[in-house]
Amino acid sequence: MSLDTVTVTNHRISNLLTAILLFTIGCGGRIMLHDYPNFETVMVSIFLASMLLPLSMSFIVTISIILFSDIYLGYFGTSKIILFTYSGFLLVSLVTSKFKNHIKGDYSSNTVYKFSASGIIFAGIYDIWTNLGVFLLSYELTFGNLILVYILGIPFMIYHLLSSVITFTLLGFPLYYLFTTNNKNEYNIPTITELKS
Amino acid sequence: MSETRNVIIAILVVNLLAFSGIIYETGYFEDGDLDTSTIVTAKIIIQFKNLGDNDTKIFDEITTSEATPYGILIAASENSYSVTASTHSVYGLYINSIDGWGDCNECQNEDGYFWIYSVNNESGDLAANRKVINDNDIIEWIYTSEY
Repeated sequence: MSLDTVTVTNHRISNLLTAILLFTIGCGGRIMLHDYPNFETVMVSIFLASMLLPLSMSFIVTISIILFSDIYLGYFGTSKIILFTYSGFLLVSLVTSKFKNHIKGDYSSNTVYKFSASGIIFAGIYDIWTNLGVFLLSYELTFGNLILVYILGIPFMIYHLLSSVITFTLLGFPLYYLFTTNNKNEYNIPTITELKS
Repeated sequence: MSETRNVIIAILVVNLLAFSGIIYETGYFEDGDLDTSTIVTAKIIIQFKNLGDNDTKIFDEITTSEATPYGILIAASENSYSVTASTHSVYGLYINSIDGWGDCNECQNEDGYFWIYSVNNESGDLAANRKVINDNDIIEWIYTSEY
């Protein structure tokens, strides 16, 4: 018989607390930044939820953020476009969860650049999807109108991509670091192992 | 310590680029260059898509000293209709309501409808107080649910 050790990791910030914090940041940020369209904290909160939480929990955080902020701002139920905005955010959540092992990183400049690229890619995915919704819901369904919708959306999309770079690096990266690198207590617990001679 | 420095530099670089892009995109430094103080006479049409063609207002010759779609809208409004507007942080001047239709305290508001303008049948590509108009232009203000 000999003494061996096993390492037990205890996260100081639980999944539930992480979810509540991200909900507060996403929902509160959207309400406070309401006068600055396409500058929001919803996308980065959903991104972090998908990076840090199980998929089912990140979906709950995603829906909660947009549902509560929509109700508070009086948008809920006013337009069919919410079919596309809600599914767009869920799509971002799903894609982030799928690729989180490629995105995650340590405290380095490389991770900052990966977060910047993530901001651009996910805001882009969301805008392409919701612009399709605008086309399907508001325009006569011709190829010319489809192109027109995307052309008209370019200025807003550029602004959204750039603002996402800012939120993903100034908010997303520090919070990710706080929730991961700095969020572990590791203990070595002795165990008994039988020696085979 | 050196990694922290690299992280800070990376964050500064990407944010500098992003903020520069936003400033360029919003035309922040271009505002002072535009001269809209020419006197012009143009035609203005105000359409309420939610009400049909019968309620369209047409003013054939309106003269304004602010040669923009907003300037001519205000010039034509004297004793005719009310206009409320607000300043949007990104898109500039935004027309909230015209003649009691739109987003204001005592207005009737049609869900999904908003005010847009066109000049000679071309949709507005700038805020209504930044687009320069010329003599004999036709300016349309349309309450619509479509772009």
